Amino acid sequence: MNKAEQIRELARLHKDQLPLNFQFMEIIELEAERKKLTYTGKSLLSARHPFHIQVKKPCKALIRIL
Amino acid sequence: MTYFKLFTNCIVSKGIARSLICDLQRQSSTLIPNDLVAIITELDSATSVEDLFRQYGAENRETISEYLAYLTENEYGFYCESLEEFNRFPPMSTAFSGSGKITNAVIEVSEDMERNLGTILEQLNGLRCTSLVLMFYRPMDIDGLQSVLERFDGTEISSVEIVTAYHEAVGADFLKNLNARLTPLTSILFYNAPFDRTDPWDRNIYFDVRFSRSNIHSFKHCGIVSAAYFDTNFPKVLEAMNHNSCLHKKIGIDIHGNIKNCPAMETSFGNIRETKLAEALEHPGFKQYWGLTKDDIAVCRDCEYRYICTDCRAYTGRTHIDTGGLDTSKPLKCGYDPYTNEWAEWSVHPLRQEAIRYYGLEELVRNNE
Ligand code: SF4
Repeated sequence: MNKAEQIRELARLHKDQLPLNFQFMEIIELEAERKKLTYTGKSLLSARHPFHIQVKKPCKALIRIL
Repeated sequence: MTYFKLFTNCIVSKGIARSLICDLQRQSSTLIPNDLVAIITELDSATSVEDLFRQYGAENRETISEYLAYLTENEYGFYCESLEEFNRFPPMSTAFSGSGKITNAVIEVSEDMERNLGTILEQLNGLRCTSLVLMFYRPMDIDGLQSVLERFDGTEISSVEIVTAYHEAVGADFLKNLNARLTPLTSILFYNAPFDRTDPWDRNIYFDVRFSRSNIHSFKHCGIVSAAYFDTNFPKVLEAMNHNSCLHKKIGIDIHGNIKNCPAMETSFGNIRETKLAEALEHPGFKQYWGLTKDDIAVCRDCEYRYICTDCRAYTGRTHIDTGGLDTSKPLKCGYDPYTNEWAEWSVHPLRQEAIRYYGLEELVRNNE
């Protein structure tokens, strides 16, 4: 499995835990993130989820055609 | 003495006939009377509640009490027991900044351009553009769409919105296939569809899907101002307070490859075949509208919605020009009148007919009737 497939598989397995309206955009693997945060010993990401997905929709309508 | 402080994330936008209070944290806006704004302004300048009651006299006591109750019940503000406590809450900075040279782009993708999309995306990525709209004035099959979306691999573009023509193969399987791969697709609109429909968000499809009967054949359809497009959130409102809410950090490429502020605008800053996007951006005229806020635009400056509304400089009423030669007229496709607080159909207004003819929008207006 390549990286994209692995991520997709993870998202598929955990899709019911994703907050409503969350999009599949940026995936930060928790372990990697934990390592970055060792200086505080804390992770901002919920330990229940193995990855974090962020909404990346623009903050406004970029076109208004309808 | 008691003081009253508005939460700093609540911003009041005063209109000529009424005002709006925008709670940027809760992402909601509510209309309020201008009398209440006068009270909020007094309280915000450290007038104590007791002094306020005194100033306005016994006859206004009940109304002011009602206003204060409204503000606290709706969690727009809170009481402070002393001036010292009041001064502990400085105002929030309303500055707006971001690292990207461009934040969003709108591209009318011709078949020719589709082949070179990779180079355009590379340039946009270099400018740190994060959101993109791709308009295809033709039906796209699943392979075509997938190959377009594959080109986003390795870029930091995090939102792609696609507008394309409906065709018979578009259905549940088509969407499932489009969803099969991780892409930054956030929404897809199929125009010329046999029905109007917005699919409820589905846990198995990670983008918004919309079908419309409208026949979108050019960018002339853009620029509509309606309450449906109002947004209350931090980046949107702060950007609107400091910059043009549509054109700031936007780049457009029209169907012929011309680099513009928006595909519908006339001025071109070069063609994508021979000009790099970064070069166009350095053109002295490219950023001329970036700093034009709604506070500079006729009529809009009196409108309570001005910070949650998105501007349009491509289609305006063509009534005002400032000393620097910038068009400061109200957007043509706005039917709101801040002086009467009423919405009307924009295209039937007698004073708009000349602008409608100027932009060649007659057919579009006829089809919408
Ligand atoms: S007058 Fe229309 S375009 Fe101007 S700010 Fe108000 S709603 Fe927006």
